Amino acid sequence: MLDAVIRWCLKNTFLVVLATAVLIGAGYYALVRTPVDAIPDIGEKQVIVFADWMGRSPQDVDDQVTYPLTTSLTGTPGVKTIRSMSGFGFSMVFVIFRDEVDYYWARSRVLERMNVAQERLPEGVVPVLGPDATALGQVYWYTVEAEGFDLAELRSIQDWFVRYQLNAVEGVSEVASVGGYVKQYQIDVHPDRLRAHRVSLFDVFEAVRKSNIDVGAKVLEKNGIEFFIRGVGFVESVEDLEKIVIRQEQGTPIQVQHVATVALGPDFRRGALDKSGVEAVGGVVLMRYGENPLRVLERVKAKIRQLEPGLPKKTLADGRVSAVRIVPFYDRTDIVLETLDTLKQALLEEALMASAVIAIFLLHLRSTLVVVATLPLSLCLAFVLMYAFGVDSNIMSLAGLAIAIGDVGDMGIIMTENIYRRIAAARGEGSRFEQVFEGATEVGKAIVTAVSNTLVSFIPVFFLSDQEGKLFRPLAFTKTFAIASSVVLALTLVPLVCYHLFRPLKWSGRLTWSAAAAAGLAAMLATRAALGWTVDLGPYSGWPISLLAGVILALAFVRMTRERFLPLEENRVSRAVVALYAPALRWVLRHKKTFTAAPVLVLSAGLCVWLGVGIGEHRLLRGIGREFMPPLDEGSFLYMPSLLPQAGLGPAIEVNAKQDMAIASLPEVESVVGKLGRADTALDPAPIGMLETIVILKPESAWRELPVERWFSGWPRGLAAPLGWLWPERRRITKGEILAELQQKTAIPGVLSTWLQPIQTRLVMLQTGFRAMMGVKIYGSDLGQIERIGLRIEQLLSHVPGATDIVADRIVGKPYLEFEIDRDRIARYGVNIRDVQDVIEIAVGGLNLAETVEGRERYPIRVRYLREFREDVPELEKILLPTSSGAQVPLTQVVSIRSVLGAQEIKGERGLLVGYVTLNTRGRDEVSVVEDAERVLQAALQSGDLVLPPGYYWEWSGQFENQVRATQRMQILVPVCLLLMFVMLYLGFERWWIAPVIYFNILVCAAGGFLLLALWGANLSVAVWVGFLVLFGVIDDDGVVMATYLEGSFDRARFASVAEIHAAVLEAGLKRIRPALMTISTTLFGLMPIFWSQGRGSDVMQPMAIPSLGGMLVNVLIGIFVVPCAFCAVEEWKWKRAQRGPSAGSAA
Amino acid sequence: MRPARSRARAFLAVAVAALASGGCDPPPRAARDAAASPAWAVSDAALELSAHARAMASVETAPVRRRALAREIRAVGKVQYNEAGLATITSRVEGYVERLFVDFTGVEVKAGDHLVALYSPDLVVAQQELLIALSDPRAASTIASTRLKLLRWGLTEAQVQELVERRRAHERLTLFSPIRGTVTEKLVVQNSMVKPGDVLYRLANLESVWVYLDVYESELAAVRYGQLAEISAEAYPGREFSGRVWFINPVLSEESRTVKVLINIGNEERKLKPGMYVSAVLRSPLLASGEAAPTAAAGHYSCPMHPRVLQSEAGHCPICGMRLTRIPGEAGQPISEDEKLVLAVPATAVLDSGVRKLVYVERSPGEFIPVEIATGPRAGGYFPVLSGLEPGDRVALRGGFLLDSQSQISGLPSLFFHEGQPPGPAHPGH
Repeated sequence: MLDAVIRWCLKNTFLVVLATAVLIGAGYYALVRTPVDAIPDIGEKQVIVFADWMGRSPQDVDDQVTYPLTTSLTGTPGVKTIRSMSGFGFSMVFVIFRDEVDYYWARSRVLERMNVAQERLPEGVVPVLGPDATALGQVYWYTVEAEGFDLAELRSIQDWFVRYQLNAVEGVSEVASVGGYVKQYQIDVHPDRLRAHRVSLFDVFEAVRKSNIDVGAKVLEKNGIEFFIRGVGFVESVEDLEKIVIRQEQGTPIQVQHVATVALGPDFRRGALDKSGVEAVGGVVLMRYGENPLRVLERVKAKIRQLEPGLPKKTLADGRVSAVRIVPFYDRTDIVLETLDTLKQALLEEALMASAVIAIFLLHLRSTLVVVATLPLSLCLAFVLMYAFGVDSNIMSLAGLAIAIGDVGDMGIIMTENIYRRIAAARGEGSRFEQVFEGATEVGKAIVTAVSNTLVSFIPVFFLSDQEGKLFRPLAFTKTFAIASSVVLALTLVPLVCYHLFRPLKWSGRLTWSAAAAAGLAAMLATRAALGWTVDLGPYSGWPISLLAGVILALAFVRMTRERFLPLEENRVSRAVVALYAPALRWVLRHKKTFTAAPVLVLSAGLCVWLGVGIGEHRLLRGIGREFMPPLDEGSFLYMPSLLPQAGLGPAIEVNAKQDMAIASLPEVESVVGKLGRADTALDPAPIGMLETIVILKPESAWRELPVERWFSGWPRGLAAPLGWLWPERRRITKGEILAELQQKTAIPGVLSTWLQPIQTRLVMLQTGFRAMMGVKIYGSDLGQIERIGLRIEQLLSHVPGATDIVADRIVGKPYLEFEIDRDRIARYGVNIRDVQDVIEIAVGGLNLAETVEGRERYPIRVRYLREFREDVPELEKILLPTSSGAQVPLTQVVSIRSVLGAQEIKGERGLLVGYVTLNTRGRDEVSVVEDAERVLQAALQSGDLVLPPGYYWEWSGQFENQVRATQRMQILVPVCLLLMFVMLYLGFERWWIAPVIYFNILVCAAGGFLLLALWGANLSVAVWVGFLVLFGVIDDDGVVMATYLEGSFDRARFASVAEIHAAVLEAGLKRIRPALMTISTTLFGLMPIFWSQGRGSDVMQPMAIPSLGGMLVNVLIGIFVVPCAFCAVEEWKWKRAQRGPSAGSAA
Repeated sequence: MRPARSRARAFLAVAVAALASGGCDPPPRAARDAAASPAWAVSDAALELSAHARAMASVETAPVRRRALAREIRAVGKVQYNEAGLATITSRVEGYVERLFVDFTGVEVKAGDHLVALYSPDLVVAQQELLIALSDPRAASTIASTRLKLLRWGLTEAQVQELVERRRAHERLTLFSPIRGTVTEKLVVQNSMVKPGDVLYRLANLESVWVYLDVYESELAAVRYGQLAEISAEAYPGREFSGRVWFINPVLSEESRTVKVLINIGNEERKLKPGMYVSAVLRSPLLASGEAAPTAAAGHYSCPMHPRVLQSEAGHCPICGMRLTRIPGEAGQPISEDEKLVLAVPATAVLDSGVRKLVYVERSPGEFIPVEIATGPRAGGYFPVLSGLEPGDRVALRGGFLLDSQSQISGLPSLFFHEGQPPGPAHPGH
């Protein structure tokens, strides 16, 4: 069948060329249209139910709202877990669904349940569904800024103009405001005047409530003309409120202004924003779940450009005009684009490296052209497939392409080389068509076999589940796509191009040169046009480069026309390779036992490095660490200091401003904006003491350079300078050092801090509910106990090496003032509990009882006691309570005010209360830290250091869970896949022992991978395992190619002596060493760009490439001798046995 | 030189020259361990702060010292008539109102101003009796008794004298105001008939008024006779009236849980009008014991218009010449200046959980320990310290909250955790 395909393609040039053109077009279309993101969306499907209950303490909220809500939601189909949180004045229930559940289906299920739950909630509490977004959807943060505008004005602009406009953008789920002051009409009641005028608080309350209404009264018809009738009565100003009448006494009205002060003021707030130490107003754009951030942000930015001219302006005192601006301080686009840039650049560099390697090995431009052409075309096809299969373009999927590039080149190489060999061998005789066809069919099957091996090696990745599945499946897909594409191209296009390109040319010199000149000119113009079109050249004309390109192309053209088809063996590079390989192999064949030491040594070294060496706690080598995924460098920090729960807004704002100023003082910091408390969205449940500071760093090129002491530093300049080129004497400050400096600068006593990155944090938060890489969840039924256990665990964990930022929840740490009502006493005054509570609620807390309607804007009207009459406990005691007799008595007559410690927020999960102890790791891998920590805790539990009452338990949670789960899965899948490969190998060879030998080689190379991993200091993550799988495939291929050839040459031969056997092995080895080296080199050098790229995303890619690199190095040095050596040894042994007992010889 | 290139070059250098490990840049990971020097530490149950940490937490310290403290009591009240200046004009004879001189409420009258003219037949008869008696030289005793009768019925000495001299009876009797004051009530109308004992006018002297303040039970202890009070009325923003505590009501109002405290205030300009609501601030100097200092004004004499005038002898006000009035109560011992100085801690330094009060004391530079203190009620920006601190102790004025947080984190005793937790090794600086 393969033959038929190849033949058909060779015959239908036009159709194939057309298909290729279509492919290029489709590839471009796919490349442009494929949704782009930094990392795959691995967030959990989360639906938030949010219920507001203004001013209530967490305890009340938990008892009366959260608990009924949670219990009603339990049992919703498809739910994975339910987490709840009761904060100050609000309740949040996070319903996390399983991945396979449709998001909007899940939302409607929750809605159904909420209807039932509604009946069990207190009056006035209406649970609403949170935005259809997750915290990961916080893609764009901005501030609304202008000189000369105060925070309340800016907040109004944000709330009533910017917010709704941006919210209307397609793909935006919500825009939440944060910071500044919400304007509010404040009626501050003066208790003495209430008493003087014999007015109670409720009278004021009622009066105000009745004074803010518009009505319609149908229509009036006058001579056929219809008039609408409208009663106008909305409060529009402070004066309107002042004039509200409470009562009249003999014609004298008692108005609000007589008993209260009315003013415009700031509403009570639970959040603030700080930009470099100055308070600011801002907003956050929440992207809808499942949307593509890049596209949404494009639209958002377009909208902002549209809005900007219409934003308010003000003429300042000095005559300047100040206009309101929207200034972003976090933009997900940046990291997405930077990451993709890095990847694209790496891909391009890889392709160039691979091409260079091919060119050097073949030393034949036309073949190189064929092979090189397959690279972009394969990628094109891969992109088309990605688009068709809905695989997004992100760091993982592109990394899949990046690590596949070596393999992609290989297919073309094998095919081209074989055809070339055929043509060269024919020396211009016979039908070229037949030569090409035969050359192609000869290796067609081998290619397919090799590829199926490679693909089989990748099966485990497809079987990963959960987050790791979401993360790595795109990679597996793209890698498979790329390799499959390359095979398809190798079988269809490559023979055709070879057929047309490999024709002997007998052009005259003039014709050649003029054609070359034309091609060169065309190339020059094309380059210039392409440059002018795509890149902003600045002051450079771009012509020199274009000219260079033209000249190179022209020369290459000339060279191509002059190329002859020499047998490969006469190629200079081949000869060099042979000159190196032949003596080495000869030596190896002669000293087989000595040589065996090398792979064994490597293997054992690799094992030691991997698993560690040592007895018990005394370890020589620690072993390679394990983590879920190397963190993606996002170019920014999310600094999350938290104050103890008893902190008020004042210290929080001060700490925030101080730290922001300290952070901004670092030259590497581009911008710093700190948010404290909540943004007005259901996705942000942060209490007031929880700060989140986004620190954006400048691009690396703007960082400071530090001097480095080198061994030659003391030398004279002349000597040191060239060495300085190899080992630079200055280096750029690293991110780690910046972090250390920031940590030092921001250290404030009493503030617990956590440094992470924005996306990383949101991901972890989604998965675990806490803001750190990992943590312990303590479940139980009493908050006090949970806190005690948590604090104890915090102390115990501080001994664990590598664990930092250990923070236990201070659950019971918020002081409460409890007004305890004496029922006997209120009975004496004839008032009910409710009356007293209302007084407490309104007088102390204030109540927003209506909203003004001012055009588009709405502001709350609030009634409350004057500040000085409710600021301290003695004042609170004097709050007046109207009694049934009309007299007003101080509150202290009927209540006793107690100060107690209570919860700042109450978290629940699985129907139990829960407290967290969170930690991060630094300088050590996650899994080991968790294992060590768990050991410490168990030991403490045994020794009685940690007391765990019955009904309490703890559980670890964090991203490492994914690693553990992935490893478990890999532990099953990798052996299964290895077995599968083994079986395929076994079936592929007549000699049963070839498969184990190749296997041995694979293991040796894997050991090399481990060694490099240890040298690089990388941890063992799922990404690294994926890298190993890639390596297995490649090594397997190499072994197969080598062994097939050896087997082929031995099947035909009969040997007279050991030397003959050696010679045969040598000959076969030499024949195969060139393609083997070529594939190894393309893989090896193809991966190089990943290592020297330092841009965003390289940290994620490198671990995947390390095993391949290490394995390939070992393969070049040792691996390529293993199969010939083993083959030779076995054949020798068989030959010797045959010599000793001729009768037994035939049995072999 | 980009690190990317340099790394690549170094890598090549290593590969080509087969140098095992020459000058390869350390991987960035290694740098992450760069440990920050500790910003704070725990030693001997005290929190030690570096200068940087101290600046970041804006910790500011100052020694506590003795200072004069006054507790402020805010109270509201109502302006009332000075009860000592109230007067009623009553008719002593039967008669008819012939002429009203003071014919509307609110007229200011001086002592001796005519108020009303009555026609009283009884009075005419009595006058005739006197005149007859006068013409009779034997009737000296009748003269005396009739004369007395006329005086008792309301004629003034001058009127009687005139009668004696002129020998002509007055048809009408004019009544004069006995005091200076304002007509607060007018009960007669033209031509009405009055009977003996009928009230014609009520007068009130508004030169000084009384303010009844409602003082809460809890603050009563700080109120003393003779204390100065600053009164402000809504009608006159920015204007302050001053008076003295004249009286403390012996009975507490059950309903409002307040005690009426009376302030005597001069009101020459008639600005304070009875019925007005005013608010007052009483300043009560504190003693070292935390109690309110006696004012030493009780038993002394003061001018209601100029409460600053305080004399031990009765007399006249040196400013306005008004007669001084005695502040009720017994004169106490004067208090020494020393006693008036109280050990005070600034209110910003005190962390109050509602149950305990804590200050952070800087034991030695940069070393802080929490100290539990007992204080009296807040006086201005300070708390009087009853126990826990010695003069000269440096307390943290600002940043106390953060210090307390760090203490709590470090397992030291703190505001909400009396004993702290068993101290684990601190992980300073993170």
